[in-house]
Amino acid sequence: MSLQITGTGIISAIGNGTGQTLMNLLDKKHGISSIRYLQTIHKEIPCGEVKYSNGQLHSMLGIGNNTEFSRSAMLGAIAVRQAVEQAHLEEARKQGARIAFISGTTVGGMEICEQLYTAFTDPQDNRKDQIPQFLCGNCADVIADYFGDMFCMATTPSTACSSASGAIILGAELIKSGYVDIAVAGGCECLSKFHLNGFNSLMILDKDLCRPFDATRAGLNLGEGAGYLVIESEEWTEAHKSTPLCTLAGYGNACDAFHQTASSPDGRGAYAAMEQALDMAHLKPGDIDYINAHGTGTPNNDLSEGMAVMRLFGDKVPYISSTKSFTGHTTSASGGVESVICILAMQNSFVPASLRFTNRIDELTFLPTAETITRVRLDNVLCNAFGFGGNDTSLLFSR
Amino acid sequence: MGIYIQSIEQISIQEPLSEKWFLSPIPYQTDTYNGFIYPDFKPYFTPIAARRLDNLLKVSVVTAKKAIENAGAALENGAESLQGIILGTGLGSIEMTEKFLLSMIGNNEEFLQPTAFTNSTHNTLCTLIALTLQCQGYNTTYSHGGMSFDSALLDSLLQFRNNRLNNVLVCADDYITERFYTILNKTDMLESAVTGQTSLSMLLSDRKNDNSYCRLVDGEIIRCNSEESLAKVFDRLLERNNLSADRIDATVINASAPDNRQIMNLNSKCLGNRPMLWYKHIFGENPCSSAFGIYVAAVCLKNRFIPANLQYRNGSVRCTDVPKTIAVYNSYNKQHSIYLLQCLD
Repeated sequence: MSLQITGTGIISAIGNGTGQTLMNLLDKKHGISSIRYLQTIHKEIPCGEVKYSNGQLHSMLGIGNNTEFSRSAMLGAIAVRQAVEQAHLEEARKQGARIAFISGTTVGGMEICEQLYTAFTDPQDNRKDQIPQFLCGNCADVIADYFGDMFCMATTPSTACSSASGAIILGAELIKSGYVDIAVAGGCECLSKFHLNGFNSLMILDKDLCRPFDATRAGLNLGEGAGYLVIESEEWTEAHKSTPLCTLAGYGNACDAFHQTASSPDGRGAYAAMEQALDMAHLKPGDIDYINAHGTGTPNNDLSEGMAVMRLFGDKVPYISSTKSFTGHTTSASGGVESVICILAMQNSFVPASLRFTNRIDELTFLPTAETITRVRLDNVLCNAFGFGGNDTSLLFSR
Repeated sequence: MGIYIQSIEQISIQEPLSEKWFLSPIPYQTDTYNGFIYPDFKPYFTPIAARRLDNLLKVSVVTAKKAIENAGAALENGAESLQGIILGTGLGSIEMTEKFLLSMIGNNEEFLQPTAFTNSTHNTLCTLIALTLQCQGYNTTYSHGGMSFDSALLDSLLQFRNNRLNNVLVCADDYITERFYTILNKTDMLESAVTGQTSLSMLLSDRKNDNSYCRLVDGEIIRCNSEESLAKVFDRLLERNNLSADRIDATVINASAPDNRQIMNLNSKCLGNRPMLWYKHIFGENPCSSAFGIYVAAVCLKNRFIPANLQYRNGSVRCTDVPKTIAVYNSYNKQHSIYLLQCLD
């Protein structure tokens, strides 16, 4: 069964919607700077914030001051709305399509809990409406409710930084097995003090702008955002007149099972995930034109991912870049955000640059694509996303 | 192709790693805090590992290991033959989340240790199990409140249907800490309920053997507001499996109190009005307690007997003597899940 992508939605530090995102990618304009909106003592740490206050996000959604919506849920709803509109899902729903909503997140709602935690634990304090935010699945339910009866199910994969890719894989499997006709899948995550301090305590945040795949790389920049895809079987695209953008030709999920936070030196999980994606699509490594790497910019990830890429592609590594150099690491949303970027790249025939690369990593034979390359036909693209503990995924999009 | 439950192990508020609850459960009062009853961890962890891991991580590893150990012929080479792990958790390692939050708030974002942060991520449970069992196959975690385990189980069905896996470990893990209990008590989530704790691991495989508990026939998760839609989904599920409502011997419901009118009403209008069974008086209320719904159904089917203790007090019909098909119902927010289990011939 061929799985078509018929809608995309994206919001990140480089813009709201595919138009702004595309323009900034082509112009090499990143969105990482010191912190403006998040209330934290670490304002100087560079992050890829979405350039809207919570108040502005409320207005964009027309939800007044609804406290059920965490910032993660708002970012999610905005991106889902774009995807739903592009794929004409209202029409599909009218025709009786069963549409699933699958939204990956890790600490969705945490930015509210961390502000109210002291109040929650005080027996004298009666504020309770936002306690359900502690359950990160709440985020997907709130977004689903925003779209009325559009969705026949909602669930939340939570595999840290590969959550959104896990959502896309579940969406594909649900359609292939006939449980649903269409899936809106991806992920959302906003910046929170919890995440910022957590990554900071691990000492993997670069104090400067991140430099993925550079020998001098010193860590990642956190980001925030949301990215979603509409996935459907071919017969449904014909029924409700949506336009296929590309196919989801393959995907892989493997566990590194090496260490709780570090990747294996040879990237065995990453290798297995990419290999599975190729096998499912019946493609050979030589067929891949571009890899949107997980490429966080930490010493461990980029080396481990690089070793896995070299093992799979030998001395013919395709174009490879990390667009986290534009958006920051949008954690749980990254698989969704970067899938949308891959699809933009295919449609507009360009390879986004890996910003701030200058020095090759000794152990790696390949160089990331440091400049935007235009007028290049991309037929098959891999999108990697790996999570803490080795939840490794790879998605393969084809023209 | 069939999907068979080969082994199930639990650590909860009942005797750990045991099926004693089936005939003589430990009784509990509602509206009190009940912690896990822990097994002896010594055989499972070195003293260093035991100190590093929190309680939920420990119990999750123990039930996973035991379920693999007891899977018998379903896993020819034990853990080496395991192809994937899927886990549901509503709260993840809330103990570690709280620890990191408290320290972050108390120290105004300074002097933080990363251990609590890395252990707090929901997928730490499933990836630690993978690390312990050295399973590099399919690995994923669902965290969707009271539908977390149900989502994990649905994914496992897809893995078999789409010929991705021949066996998979499905787990449910949730720990309500004493501190979080006081927070939850402000909401109606635990109202009139026994507070429960959940660690359950089950091995599913496409090969049955003499030790299999039962067959996992099919399942659905549906988000809907109307009783008509739910009834339609239930009918569709039965039809797809060549069943009629009267072939369902009992329906396990997710009531946490003995007099839940809403669920009784739903059962009569949407779920074929079959005799009802319940489990939350034994295992308690907890985001992942729906896993015990599947568990009690599986144990009844294996033992070919439904103890009176599981029969819902207000059920108007008595259960059949030897149950053959049991439905398991759960709900959370606007979503409902129904799974069908059948005894082996």
